[in-house]
Amino acid sequence: MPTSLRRIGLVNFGPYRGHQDVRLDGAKPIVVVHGANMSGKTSLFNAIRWALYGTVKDRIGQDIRRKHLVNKEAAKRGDWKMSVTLAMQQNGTEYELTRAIQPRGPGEPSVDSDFDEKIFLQRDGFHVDARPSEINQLLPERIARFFLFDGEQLDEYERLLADKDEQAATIRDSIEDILGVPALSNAIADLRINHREAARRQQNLARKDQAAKVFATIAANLDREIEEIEADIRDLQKQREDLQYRQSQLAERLRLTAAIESEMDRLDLIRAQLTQLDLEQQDLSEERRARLVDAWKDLVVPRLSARLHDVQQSLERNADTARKAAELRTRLRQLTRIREEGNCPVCGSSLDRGNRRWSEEVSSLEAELRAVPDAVGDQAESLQSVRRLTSVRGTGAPEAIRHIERRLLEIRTARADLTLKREEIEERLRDHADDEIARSRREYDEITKEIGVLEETIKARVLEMAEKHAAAAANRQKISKFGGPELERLNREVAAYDQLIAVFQAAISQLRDRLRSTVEHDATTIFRQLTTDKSYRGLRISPTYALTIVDADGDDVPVRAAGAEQIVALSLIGALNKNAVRRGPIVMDTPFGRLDPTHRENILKFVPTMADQVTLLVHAGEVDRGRDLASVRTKIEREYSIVKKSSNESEIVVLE
Amino acid sequence: MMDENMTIRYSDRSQEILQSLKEEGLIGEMRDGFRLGIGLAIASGVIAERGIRMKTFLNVGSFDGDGTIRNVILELYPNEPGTPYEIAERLAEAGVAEIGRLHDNDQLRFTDLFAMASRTSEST
Repeated sequence: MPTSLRRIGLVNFGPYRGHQDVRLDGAKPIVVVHGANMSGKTSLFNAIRWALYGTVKDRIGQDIRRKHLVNKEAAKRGDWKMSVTLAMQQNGTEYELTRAIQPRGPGEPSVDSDFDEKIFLQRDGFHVDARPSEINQLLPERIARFFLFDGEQLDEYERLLADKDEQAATIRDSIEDILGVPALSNAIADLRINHREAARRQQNLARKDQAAKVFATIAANLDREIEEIEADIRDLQKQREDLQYRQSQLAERLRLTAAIESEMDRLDLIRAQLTQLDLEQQDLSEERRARLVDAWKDLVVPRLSARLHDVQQSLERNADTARKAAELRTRLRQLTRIREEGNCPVCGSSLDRGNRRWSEEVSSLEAELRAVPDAVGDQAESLQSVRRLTSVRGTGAPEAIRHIERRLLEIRTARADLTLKREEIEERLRDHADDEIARSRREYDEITKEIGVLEETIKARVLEMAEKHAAAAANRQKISKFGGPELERLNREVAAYDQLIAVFQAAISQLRDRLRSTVEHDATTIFRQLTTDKSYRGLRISPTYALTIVDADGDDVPVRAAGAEQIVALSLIGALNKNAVRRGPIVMDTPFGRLDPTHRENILKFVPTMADQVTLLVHAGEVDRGRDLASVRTKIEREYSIVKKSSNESEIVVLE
Repeated sequence: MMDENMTIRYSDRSQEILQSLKEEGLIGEMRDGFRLGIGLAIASGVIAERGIRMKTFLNVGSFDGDGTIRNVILELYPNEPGTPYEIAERLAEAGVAEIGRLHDNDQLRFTDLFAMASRTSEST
């Protein structure tokens, strides 16, 4: 059942204001949509999912609220109507699916229930009932992950397949869906109906036979009992299926919860770090305030030192002057005493007191002494200055404050960084209440127990049914023994159905083995085509379809880089699509994000073989239009560019 | 020198700046910022003009109990007209205004004030 996407019509979806169309039809397999980060590539991708399944998840798996899907510019103008139309083709039949929402009443809608949702489905131009089952068959949600995939989350497949919980089982089942295993399961169900019909005809005939009549009654009773058990088992299986579905939903939620809890742990850590930084900041600010009380002294100390230097020089000059004056006074006193005594103090001979030289010498010394300034007053003042100037000392505040402010700056930067991270996480955790998570976990545990009980009951009922079947088979032998040739023939028919059912059951097991082997082979071929490391021998598949890289020695490569995860996931998806009984359009969002140029080129060459129709949503960092697309130019039907007109508005334009 | 003041005064603008610094936890008391302004003005060699309209801020006793600031001004501004505390008021006006300017421009780092004061002292 090949399905293709012909057109996507958007009205006020995400960044796309008003009506915008993207045509995907054409003879060539590839359509490329170029767009910068945050321009609206993922919104285009989400639009397809929303139209088909009515929900959009963000990259941590939370449902995005309807009001957040509506174009902000349109909403600002009061236009809250939003719709997405997908024109599709399946086996020559044209489908057009439109999902539209609009507010229920006046005013700004807040929660999802404030919107009315309408779904319209046209088949070959005629409106048909848009039942979920009808829409789902266009591209079943169960297998949508193999057609609509986000390059940033490609490793999710491998991780999920490696898990041991219901997630892995769900993906394994969807892989088997895409590979056609249900065709055989349905055949077994049909054979059981035929088996029952033949047995009933045998009983009806036997009732007419006197000898076989008693056994016919036994057979009828056994059949009724078997039917009751079968109905009971079906009912139990349905209950189990419903519970498993609910369990898988809860598992998904809890998986997200694990992510949320991890985010919450991070948030707690960030909050603790912020508190720690706040405390340190408070302490440092307190210390700085204390240091600043006397820091004015440190500011004036250099000026005081300079002034002290001047005063000290002045004091030295004063001391010199005082010394000189003392010397002069001593000399003057000596001369005066010698003249008064009239004798030489060395030889004792008498001196001429009237000698003019004496008078001149004394006069000169007296004049010299008078010229010496009176430094005593200045000196006292200077000494007082020295006391004042040396009484003010630096406190060491500049050095201490330099350290404090350097640390405060570091804290400010760290706080800004942590605050931004905290806000991002808080935004992501918006709407997630702890009690809701606890409730989900309780419900999950209860459901797991219920499933366990149901499985035990089913097992017991299956055993009981096997016993009844054995009894019925033995009874049929008796009927044919006592009845005529027609009863004998009918008995052979019933036995033939029994054998056929066994054959088909064995066939399913063999088909699974073969499919795994085929998928492993094809995934290996693709992997070797995509990888640049040619020393790898290939991939090994597990019963749950998880793939492991095998090195040249045949050993598993336990740790893979993100880029390798992407190559392995693409190999699996390529192999599944190659072997799929359902073929559909592939839409890849950011498919080359983690890949180097050589891997990118390898994948671009491989993409046209993946499906009949591939849409690539890429940014300039992933794919250079001129350089990277040259090798697949002949396979490209059309290229679009998402042009960002403002933070809330983008336009999709055709690239020539 | 004229007779000593009993009180210390400041302008409305200085009050506004000092209050703001205190409210933001940059200084413990307004008087700390006032003294810092005096220190900065002395280090930078600036002083406000006379005649600025001022109002009472502190008693001299709680501003300069041991007279250290008075002594510093007596030593460094021997020829400046006015009492030591009047000179201190004008120095504070100039210094606090500079701190306020840096604060308004979100450039107030005390480390830079010390560095700036140190450079100015060296150059004079």
